[in-house]
Amino acid sequence: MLAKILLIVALSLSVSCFAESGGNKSRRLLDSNDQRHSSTDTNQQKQQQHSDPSTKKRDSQSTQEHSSDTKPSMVDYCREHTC
Amino acid sequence: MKIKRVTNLASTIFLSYATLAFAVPPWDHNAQSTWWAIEDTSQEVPLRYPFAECGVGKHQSPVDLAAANINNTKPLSTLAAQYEIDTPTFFNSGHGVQVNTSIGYTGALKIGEESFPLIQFHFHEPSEHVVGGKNFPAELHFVHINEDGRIIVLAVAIDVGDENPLFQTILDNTPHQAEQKNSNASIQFNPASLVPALSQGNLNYYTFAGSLTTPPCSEGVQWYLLSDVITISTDQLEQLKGFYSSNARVPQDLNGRSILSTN
Repeated sequence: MLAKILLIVALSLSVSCFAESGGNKSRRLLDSNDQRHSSTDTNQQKQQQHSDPSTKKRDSQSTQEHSSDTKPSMVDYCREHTC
Repeated sequence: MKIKRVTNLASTIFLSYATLAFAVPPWDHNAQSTWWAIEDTSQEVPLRYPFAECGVGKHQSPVDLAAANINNTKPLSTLAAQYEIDTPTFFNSGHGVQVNTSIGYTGALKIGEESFPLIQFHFHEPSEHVVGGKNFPAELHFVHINEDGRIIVLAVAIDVGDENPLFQTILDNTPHQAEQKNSNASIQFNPASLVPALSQGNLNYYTFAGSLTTPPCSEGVQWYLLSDVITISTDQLEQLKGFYSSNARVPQDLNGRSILSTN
């Protein structure tokens, strides 16, 4: 019985140590998949424009709207106030 | 009918949000010593005092240049006003004469390798920054904000001298009623015409950490004050006063700040 308990404790410790060391390897503030790259967005837009010229104007408008959406609100504030 | 109701409700919510987002309590330059105490009664503490930073901030603007330790030994980034022609909006902000650049305007202030898009510029009478307690007749602030939210203000002292044609265009197109905009003027100009010695390409300046000079007096603003001044005529200065007079904040304590200079 005592041997079983020791075996369980030993296994638990080894599993937790393995998990920690594995976690450190891939630990980052932001995972690359979570990052929003403007360059990627731009490339995708370029591809869309290339594949379908008729949507060029619409995509351009969409890009403008997107860029204005992501601007800091301070930009809008300073257009309405002295700053 | 149902769709219309939903649309109306959505519009109301959006307008309310937009109003709240930009709603700030009224303030006045005459009562600037108590800006920090102005209350927004719709909010709880600490948001109840939205302008507290005007009173408790340690890096406030403007400053008296003569009172500062000026360091001109450090190598500083080159400064270039890379503004472009724009069709701006003329705005009477209720506190000053202001010109907003158009959405998507790409003209920017280049500091070293970094670019900061120009958002708006406005005028103060008299100047806010002083030298030995002495004001200039007026001061021009170019406000730039980049993608990461950093605010850079390029300040230009205005002296009385030759008439400035671009400044006259601004005066002639700014509404006289407070909080009114004139976006239908369809007038094109380059704000660079209001920057001195642009042809030299490399502007001489003083730089220091500061704040907005109007409520909420937010800190984290980097100031670049040009060594050279521009001029407007006596008549133009009187016209500016016709809009707003004494819309300048008094110099604030340096609290140990040094000023770096290219001079």
